[in-house]
Amino acid sequence: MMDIQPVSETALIIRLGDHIDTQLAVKTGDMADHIRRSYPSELIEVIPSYTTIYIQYHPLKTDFIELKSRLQVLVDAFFLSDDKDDRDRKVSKIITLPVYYSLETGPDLPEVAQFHNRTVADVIQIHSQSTYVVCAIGFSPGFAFLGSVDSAIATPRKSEPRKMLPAGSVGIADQQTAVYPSDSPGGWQIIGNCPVSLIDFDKAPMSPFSVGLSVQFQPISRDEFFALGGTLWSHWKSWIRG
Amino acid sequence: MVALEILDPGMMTQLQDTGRTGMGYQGLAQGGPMDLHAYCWANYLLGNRMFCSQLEITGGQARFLAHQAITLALTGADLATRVNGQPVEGWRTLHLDKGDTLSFQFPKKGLRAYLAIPGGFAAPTVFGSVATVVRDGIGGLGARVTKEDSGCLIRQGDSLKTVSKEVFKPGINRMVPARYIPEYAGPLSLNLMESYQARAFSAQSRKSLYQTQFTLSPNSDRMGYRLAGAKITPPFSGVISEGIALGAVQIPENGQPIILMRDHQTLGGYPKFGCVAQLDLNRLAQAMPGTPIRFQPISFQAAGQKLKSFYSFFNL
Repeated sequence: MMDIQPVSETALIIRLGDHIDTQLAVKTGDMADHIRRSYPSELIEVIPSYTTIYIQYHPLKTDFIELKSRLQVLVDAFFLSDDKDDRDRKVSKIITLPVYYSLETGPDLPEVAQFHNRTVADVIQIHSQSTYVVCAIGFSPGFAFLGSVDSAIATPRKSEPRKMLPAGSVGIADQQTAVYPSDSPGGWQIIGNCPVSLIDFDKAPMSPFSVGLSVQFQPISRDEFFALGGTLWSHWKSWIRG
Repeated sequence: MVALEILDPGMMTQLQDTGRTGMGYQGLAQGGPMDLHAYCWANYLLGNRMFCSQLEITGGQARFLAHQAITLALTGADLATRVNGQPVEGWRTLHLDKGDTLSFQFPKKGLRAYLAIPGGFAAPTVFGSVATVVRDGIGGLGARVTKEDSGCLIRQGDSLKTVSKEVFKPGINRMVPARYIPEYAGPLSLNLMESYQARAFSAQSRKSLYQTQFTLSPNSDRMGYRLAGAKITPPFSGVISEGIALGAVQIPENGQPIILMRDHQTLGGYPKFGCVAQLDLNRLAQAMPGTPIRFQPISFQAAGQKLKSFYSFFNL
């Protein structure tokens, strides 16, 4: 399935599917990179997300009709050439993020475990065993939505979002998982903390993530967490009780 | 060189340029002037390029002190501007002497005024722009700050430096022709292009969207303008998160439309009926809460032609 529709005077959306599928996210991310490289001056934004690629263009440099026909050719060629090489290339790029899973960094571990009638150790093991795919980046700068969380630990968001979470918090929301790159409000179930900085506005790229990349989590000890620059957040208790 | 010192930033004063583009794929909002029409005229009056940064003064009650003789252009809302206590007109250039105080009172018409100087204000760029996006903690004078203190807003005591060495241009005395000065009071009719999930809405919902007179909710900000009125029933509660365009009209489950403005998030999962024509957002950005608002359909072509003329005129 492929469909290109205008959404405003300066934007269009390419739809590549209608259900969430991590393989499609890999393809969507690759294609977005390819499009961004192919038309650097006409295109202002190219934003892949799960099943779509949103494109904002400069209204004096191109228009919908012209862009649609060029994109059609590009996307068709991409699908034909793709299959093996591109996907292998992308899968070989795996980011490994260290995570200190603990009650002092992941206050929702007991809730997630209880929800599935499992132990906290099970939750940690299952979460850190899977390889995830970046399906979208948004919500806040550098916030990567990773799919898919094993249904054995997939847990709904908290009924009441927290007003503030520390940067590095690793959360679960249904079948998605993510690391909050900066201090932020949030309603995800927090199970650990990644001490590595995931956002830097002085660097290009500012974030290690791009749609389609693979991500793994590596459990680390309390000592390793501190050695990597991790800090404990003293506000959990008041939020938990409150 | 320090041009202006902030004695009082008023309700909210931000540094803005044409926006931080090309970083949406990393989750960065573009920001930019809420009223691009007024912003562009202010730069135009001074012969500036359009990316030259300006102050967006929202809600008035601000006071600035000139540290040197300087030429300004002032457009947008009528915030009852005064120089040393004497009223001055907007939509034109004006000259301050060293030691003059420029002040803004409560809004008389519109909400946001734009203040430009020759060459723009000096500030560190982040990904090519100084545009302030408070939610992302980017922009303004300090390139980057913590979110807690919303420090990227202009604060009392800030000194605004100039990019250009020559900022006093007594020879420049220009005003915007009256026909290009919008009337900021009164009801609004917004041109709407149907797109995104429009076809999935029921005939009844569609009819009701065009027939309802909404009012602008006070719960509106640089991210989104919320409307209150008849409930528009969305066809489903959510869609797979997808890229959002400026002006997109989201219909959440409560049926009250949200029009996405300059600081809108890059992705969203609410059903969307389409997009408001970008030039209409400028006038919307100046509307006070309670303003009556209606939608009327427009074709992509008609809206596109108007936007192209605007882009060509201002060389955007």
